[in-house]
Amino acid sequence: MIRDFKFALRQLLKAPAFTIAAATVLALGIGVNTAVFSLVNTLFFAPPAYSKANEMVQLFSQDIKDPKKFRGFSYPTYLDIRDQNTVFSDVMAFNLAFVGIGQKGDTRRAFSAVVSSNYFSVLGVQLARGRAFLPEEETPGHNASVAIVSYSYWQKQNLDPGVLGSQILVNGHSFTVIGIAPKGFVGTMQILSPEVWLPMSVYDQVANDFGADDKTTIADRKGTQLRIMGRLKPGVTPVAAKPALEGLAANLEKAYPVEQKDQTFITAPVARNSVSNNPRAEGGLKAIAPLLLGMAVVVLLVACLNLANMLLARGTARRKEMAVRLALGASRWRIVRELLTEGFALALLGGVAGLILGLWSSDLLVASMRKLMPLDIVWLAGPNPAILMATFGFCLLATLMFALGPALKLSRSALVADLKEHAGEDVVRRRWRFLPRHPLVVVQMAFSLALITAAALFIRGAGKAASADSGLRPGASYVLEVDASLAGYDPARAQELYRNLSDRLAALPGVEHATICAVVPFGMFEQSRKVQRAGMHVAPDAKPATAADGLAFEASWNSVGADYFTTVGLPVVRGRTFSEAEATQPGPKVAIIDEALAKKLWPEADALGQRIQFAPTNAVSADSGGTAHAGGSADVNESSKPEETIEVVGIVPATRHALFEKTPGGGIYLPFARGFQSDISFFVRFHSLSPENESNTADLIRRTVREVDPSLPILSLSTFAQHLDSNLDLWLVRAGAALFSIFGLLALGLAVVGLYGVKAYSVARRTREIGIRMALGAQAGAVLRMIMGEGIVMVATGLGIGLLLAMATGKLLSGILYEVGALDPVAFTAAPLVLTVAALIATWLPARRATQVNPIQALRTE
Amino acid sequence: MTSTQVNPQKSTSGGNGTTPLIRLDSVTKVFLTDEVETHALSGIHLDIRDGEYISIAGPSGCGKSTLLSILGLLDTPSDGSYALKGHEVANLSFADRARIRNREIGFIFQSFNLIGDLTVYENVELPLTYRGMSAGDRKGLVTQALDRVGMAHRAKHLPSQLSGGQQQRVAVARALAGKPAILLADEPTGNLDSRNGEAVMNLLKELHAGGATICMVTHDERFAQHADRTVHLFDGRVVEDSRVAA
Repeated sequence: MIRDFKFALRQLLKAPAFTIAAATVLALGIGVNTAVFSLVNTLFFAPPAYSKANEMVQLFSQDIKDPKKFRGFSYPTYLDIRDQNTVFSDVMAFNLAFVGIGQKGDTRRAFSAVVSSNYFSVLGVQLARGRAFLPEEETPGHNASVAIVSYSYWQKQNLDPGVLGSQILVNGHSFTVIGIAPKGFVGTMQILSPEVWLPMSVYDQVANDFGADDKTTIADRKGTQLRIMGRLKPGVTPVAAKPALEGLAANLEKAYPVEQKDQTFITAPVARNSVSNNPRAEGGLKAIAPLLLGMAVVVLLVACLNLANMLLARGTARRKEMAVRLALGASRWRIVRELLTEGFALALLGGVAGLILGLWSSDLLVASMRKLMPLDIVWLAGPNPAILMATFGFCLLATLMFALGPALKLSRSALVADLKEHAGEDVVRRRWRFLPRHPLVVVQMAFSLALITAAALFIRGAGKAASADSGLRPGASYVLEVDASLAGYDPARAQELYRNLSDRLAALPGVEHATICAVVPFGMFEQSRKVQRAGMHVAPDAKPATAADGLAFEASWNSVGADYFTTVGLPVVRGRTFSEAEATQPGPKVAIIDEALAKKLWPEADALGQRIQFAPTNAVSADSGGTAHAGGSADVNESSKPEETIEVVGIVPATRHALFEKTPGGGIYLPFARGFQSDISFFVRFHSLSPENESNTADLIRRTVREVDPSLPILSLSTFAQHLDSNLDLWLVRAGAALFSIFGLLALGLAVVGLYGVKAYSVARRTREIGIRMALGAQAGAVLRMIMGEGIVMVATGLGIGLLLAMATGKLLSGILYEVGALDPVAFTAAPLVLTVAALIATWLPARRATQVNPIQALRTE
Repeated sequence: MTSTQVNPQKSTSGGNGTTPLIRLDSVTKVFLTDEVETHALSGIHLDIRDGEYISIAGPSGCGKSTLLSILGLLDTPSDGSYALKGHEVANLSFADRARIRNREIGFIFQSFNLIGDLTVYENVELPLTYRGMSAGDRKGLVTQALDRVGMAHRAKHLPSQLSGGQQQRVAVARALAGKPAILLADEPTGNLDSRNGEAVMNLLKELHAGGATICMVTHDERFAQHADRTVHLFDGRVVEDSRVAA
């Protein structure tokens, strides 16, 4: 075997150009697979950062009467479960919260985890430095100002030992760093890590609207803020734990019949990429994994087909060599083994290059994610054993795909003929001559077309997403995001601050309007509430079918300033806008709704002047028309009670609030004073904005904020166009387009190079035949037509098969495409056109060379 | 057989005074390789008349194949003139030479040069396809040519399924099919055993008897004698032009 390997290496060294070309082709194919595997493995298969993951489960609170409904836990319920359960060796509770980290005026947004004191011990994680939280630091009301920071936070401080014991500002409050998490620890998720862990006692201080179901305090039994995870006792399986947990839930319902009504407890494996109170939150993400792996394997297949062609061509030249070996007594198996070893050596070369390429491109992908995500992405994409094994596996797979066929073919030598025949002559004896020569190239073409079409579909989606109409016409506007709570403001002071800031911004030179709003459409978060006609008291078990019966509708929620609609160019079509008094002082309950919600609530009548109310979160609601949103959505906690009614004073056009909202599902706007939240944005609309003045304008806005309060953190400042462009949903669509474009371009490049190589090689081998034809009177045009014709048959056959594959791929991708049909005519025209043009050029070059064959020299080769 | 020494620089068939089918006048061919001039042909004068059967003989490297290439319009002379049917063809374009080659010249090669993945019929048909003939017209000519060489029954076979002698007969049929003005045969028996070689020579003789003009390169004296006339080359010059008595 070693001798075979040495011989293989010698053979490869003898043909360095071939070896480099083949290793490059393999590196591309294997590199893509390594990168995708690295991503998929980290997200779905790699062991989590905590110990004995198989023992860990997440606990969910499920509605017995409506098993699709889940909710979180209150802190008192967590304590009951922790103390009374019989199946867990220990249980911990936590939730994520958005916080502002940093110095005054230089605050950035980050994720924190607010955790019970046993969080790290239940996960079995030893801190890199310092200590974990103490039990007393968990107690609500204790407000223990201590924090544990992530390893990457420490890295950003250059691993300064002084970080331990230093102060870190979280939401404007000072916390002492008591511990540093170990390297690679990302909490319960795979790559998205909190940057700071805070004790449960500060929950009320740092919790914000995101992820909070209501505004109860952490000590309130009605709360649903927490997620619970537990480590099962040795020998206890989830199935065995079920009756005990159901019994525990029943006992708690007896003890707290209101708070725990209809709730039972179930377990599920810990979600790897989300923190949710629903055990099915990760379904969609998991579906993408096989798709990505599948596409990557197709690229490898195209690369291998390419290489198989190269080997077949090279094999033609080595036919005589093989015949001599066989004549000297080598067995067929021996020849196959030698050729496979040669292929494997080549695959290993490509594998090493592919591994480097793959890891490098993974890092690029993560770097591009880091720019947009307010999360700490921990990516340890080093050559770990799983990735090395996978790459080795890809090498083996590649060897079988590209080397086995040619090896078997070469070893089946027609001894006498091969020994006599002109070495390397391309004598083709095909029974089915109407079929194209080189079927491997045809298959390559077909797979390439499928991948190019997939790329075209994604590019079309990205194009549509980038030019998606938000429905707003804010002109030359800046969007400024601030959060007064991060600077320690309470709501009343924050309201005052925002009023002041709004006035100052409106007074800036060149400003047309300035207004405040809780939510900027197409931002990271969307907020929604269920809205129904006023005066509805629907029985708990009733199933209303119409708005008149009390059916509620999910509507996008926003609270805005008086000038909001003027500033964002959303004309009030009926009724009026909010008055300055309504926007700044809690007064009569009024709302402006959009035409979509108006039509849903009063299909036959005018909604203007009618009264509405927010429905309870468990109210029966109609499908709002698709409000899936990658950034997540959260119910909003408007202070009014559901039974308090709101007058509709204005109707505005319906607009989309998120990129993935196909049609506007309905929206409701409250005056800002009635829908206060600390994390808000200002639209600052200028008469005009020239690109060269953008940075000056941004500086002017920053200065104004600092003049109002130097401690107020600016969370983001961008033009509205930049805001739309940095949308996370758009990034996802663009990332998809970029990923599939890489797949498509690689496949296109490989297929075209493969076609060129095969045609060029074929022309070289058929020099004598072309010479004969010319001697018999064939003119240049006839030779060109012959070679081009054969190429066109190959391309056309490949395109035919490829179109079928592309249609199947389109159907497969249709679920994740952005507003593009599975058979989008533009993509299905552009992709074949690109491939055809590229393929024709690849065929034309060797065909042109064929016309320059000198018949005398060609015939002299005999 | 009688042998007549002629002016080695002026080789004609003597003959009847009509315009020869082929007239070479002072043809030279010089190859330039690595700044070295090789004179493959020097001042060749050669007339070939319609219906003649001429063999070109001489030792290896004497210029036989070069002369045949020029006669077959595969190559152009460095100097001198070449008239085919009275028309100067020495300096025609590549495309014009290809057209004339296709219509006026039939090639028979030493190694047959049949195309491996075309059937016998398709190989014979090949030069006719380059003329833009209809399939019906081609069929008649191909069938006729295959009949003439006794290979009609093998029309659907691939060359690899034939013996060497049969392959050469197919090559002869291919050369004949387009009814060219002259058949050029380059060592047509070189790859054949003596029995098959003899058979091919007899076939050429029959064709000549039927009126075909043939110019054959050979270094085999036995086969050279099948021709009416033998032109001997040495160092790129005609050193003897001898006529065989009937």
